[in-house]
Amino acid sequence: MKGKFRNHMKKVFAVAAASMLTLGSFAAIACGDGRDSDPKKLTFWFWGSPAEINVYNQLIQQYQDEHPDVTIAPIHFESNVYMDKFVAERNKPDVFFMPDTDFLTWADAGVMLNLNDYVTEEELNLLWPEAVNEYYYNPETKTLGKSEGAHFYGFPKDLGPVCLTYNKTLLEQQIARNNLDRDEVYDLLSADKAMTWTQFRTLLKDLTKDQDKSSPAQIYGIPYYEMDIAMYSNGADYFKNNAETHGIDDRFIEAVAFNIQLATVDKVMPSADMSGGTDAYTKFFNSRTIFTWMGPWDNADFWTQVKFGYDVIPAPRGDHDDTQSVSMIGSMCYGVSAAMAAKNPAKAKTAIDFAKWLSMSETCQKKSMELGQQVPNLLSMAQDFISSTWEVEPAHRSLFVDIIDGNSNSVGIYSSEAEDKISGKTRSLYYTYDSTWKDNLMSYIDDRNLWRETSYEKIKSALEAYKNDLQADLNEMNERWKG
Amino acid sequence: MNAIAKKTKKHDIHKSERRTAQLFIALPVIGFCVFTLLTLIAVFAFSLMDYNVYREEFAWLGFKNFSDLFTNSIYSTAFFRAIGNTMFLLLGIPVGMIVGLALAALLQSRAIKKCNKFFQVLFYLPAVTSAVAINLVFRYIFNPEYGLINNLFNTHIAWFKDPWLLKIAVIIKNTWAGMGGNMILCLAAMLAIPSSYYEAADIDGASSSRKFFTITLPLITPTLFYMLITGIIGGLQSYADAQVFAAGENGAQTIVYFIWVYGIKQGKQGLASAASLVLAIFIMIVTLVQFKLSNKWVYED
Repeated sequence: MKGKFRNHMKKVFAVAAASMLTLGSFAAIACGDGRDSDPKKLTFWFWGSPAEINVYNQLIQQYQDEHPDVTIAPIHFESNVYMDKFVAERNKPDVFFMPDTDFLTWADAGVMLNLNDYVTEEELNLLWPEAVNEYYYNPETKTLGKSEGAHFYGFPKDLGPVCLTYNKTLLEQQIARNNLDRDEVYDLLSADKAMTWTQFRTLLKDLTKDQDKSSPAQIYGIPYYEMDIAMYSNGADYFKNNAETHGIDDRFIEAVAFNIQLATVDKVMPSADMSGGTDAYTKFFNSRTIFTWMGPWDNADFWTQVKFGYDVIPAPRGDHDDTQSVSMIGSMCYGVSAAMAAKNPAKAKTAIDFAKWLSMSETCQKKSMELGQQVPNLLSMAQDFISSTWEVEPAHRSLFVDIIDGNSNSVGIYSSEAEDKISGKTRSLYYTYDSTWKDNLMSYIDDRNLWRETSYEKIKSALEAYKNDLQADLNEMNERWKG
Repeated sequence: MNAIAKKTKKHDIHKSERRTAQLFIALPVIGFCVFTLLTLIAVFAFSLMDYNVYREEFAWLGFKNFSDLFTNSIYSTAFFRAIGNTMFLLLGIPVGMIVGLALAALLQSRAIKKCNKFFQVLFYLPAVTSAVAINLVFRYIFNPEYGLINNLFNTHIAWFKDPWLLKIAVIIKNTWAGMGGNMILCLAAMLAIPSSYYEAADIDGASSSRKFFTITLPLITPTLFYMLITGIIGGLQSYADAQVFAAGENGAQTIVYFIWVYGIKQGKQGLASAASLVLAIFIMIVTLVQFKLSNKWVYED
């Protein structure tokens, strides 16, 4: 009986094994990279809001009209799942969005094509130097930025400087309701000179004096505060020495405390308890917050959805004399698949041409700018962006240029006063191989309930106690990256 | 001669039946081999390595990933938090079973006998509703700003930020989502109880509650046991609660959410594989313990 059963089971497993082999061979055939070998057919991966998707569809149509032999298959995902998809199917897209926050990881992995041989110095000189420099990486020395032996891995999509924006109608209403001096308020809202944190906190408190601070339906000063901007504008950072050493010092602690106390002490920002409530844009669009953050790409939505006037001002700076308003610059590039280029050089040529067109062509840049998508990549078009003859909001959009250009003044149109220099810096995650260190830091702040803390001393002691942990996270990350 | 022919024919029938049976068995066996066995082997292999998902490079680590989960503060804080959250959320399983049982008992009662079908459909509705839709709707219900609960009671409860309240909100949501399935299982088990038992109890003058606790409840324990086993396995694999409902808040991060964060978001598949194996072993142990303990409370005829 046992023998018979064993024989039956042998047969069952034989059938199973044969089927697995068949299945395996099918899978091997199917897995390939699923790429069309036609050198004129490209797959383009991107993400965006409905307005941005619409912009890209128009741009792709225009490219295909100009290059009738080329077909682009655009594939877009939700921004929050885009990188998950990319991890799983990295070799599927021929041309793809690569955010600055993930650039280092994928350039280092060899997934992005080294474009050194496909672009000239003259061509790159047409673009913002800050944007070009960001997409150089030397995989040998593990250093970011343009240097001897560095490879150029991505055509800049844009530079996204983040500004504070305010609802003009709501501002006027709150000035009147709280009997504030209108001129004094507008003096603070200068596009050329940043407020200090103290001035900003006082202004927000004054503007929301009439609000019931215990009601979730109140009008807030600001829906949240960007931690990177608070750090940079107080001369602090999460780390030093190319992310080798943690950056927790007094300036760092002040930046975190400033962010927390806007909610817990001043009550001008929703408390952590309101987490999961209305998002920042909805609050702003519904006139439930006077200020919020915006980047140039937001114009596409603002122009169609906002029913009030708005303008921009620089991020407030820390109270120390040596601080500057240093905003956060988000960015992205167009990458080209290295795996595809190795197999099909003719297709790589088509992909590079398309990515280059998106990044550098005047037609594309003009269209992107006019559709409220970005500050043009081309230096020559910066004047068009800030020109007063282009009658669109925000009126002081030259601030976007100031933030990008604040440190180099590449185009000679920098408008801020020298002593109150306004500039920008790439997001913190751009400089690191992964985000574990930041996730853990934010989790620690959550776990210690610091978002509800009013006492500066308690925030300080909690953060000081975290120094070794942050250092351990950075060490582990660097070990994984640099070996 | 006739007997030999009969025997051969019988033999042929057995052979063809066996072949049919083998083909039927082959399908799940293939499924098991490809999607479970191979995956388990791969997960075990990954767990012993640092697999850098970006570079697609492997480095041998031995059991370091396992020790990191429990001793390296970079990961252990999040891992222990995930274990604690997952365990707490399991409390929702008995709550869901009690609600399902109560609804099934209600449907059996004379009070709503006339519109029994209507209530069956009504109570079962959550079971046919998309899990994502339930999560999103409950996010609105618990919203701290404009949520139904806070508005109804004029409160400002921070359902999402307070780690304990968040877990309670998840349990409430899961109880509602699971009540239809639990109710139908309990109802089916109750309907399978021979009516003669109740008739005998009626003759003896037993009250409704006495009948429920001495006849109904003991006789449906096999179903309750099944609900408990599947509930705990499902609960230990919970992911949508952390991702969709709690939007990644610390208070509801579960073990599977931890695996997703480190395996996909952080590209540390070795560590995520080690966590997966720990979870799989834990599920096996819990299930075995439940089976061992079942003879103490599960009625077997």
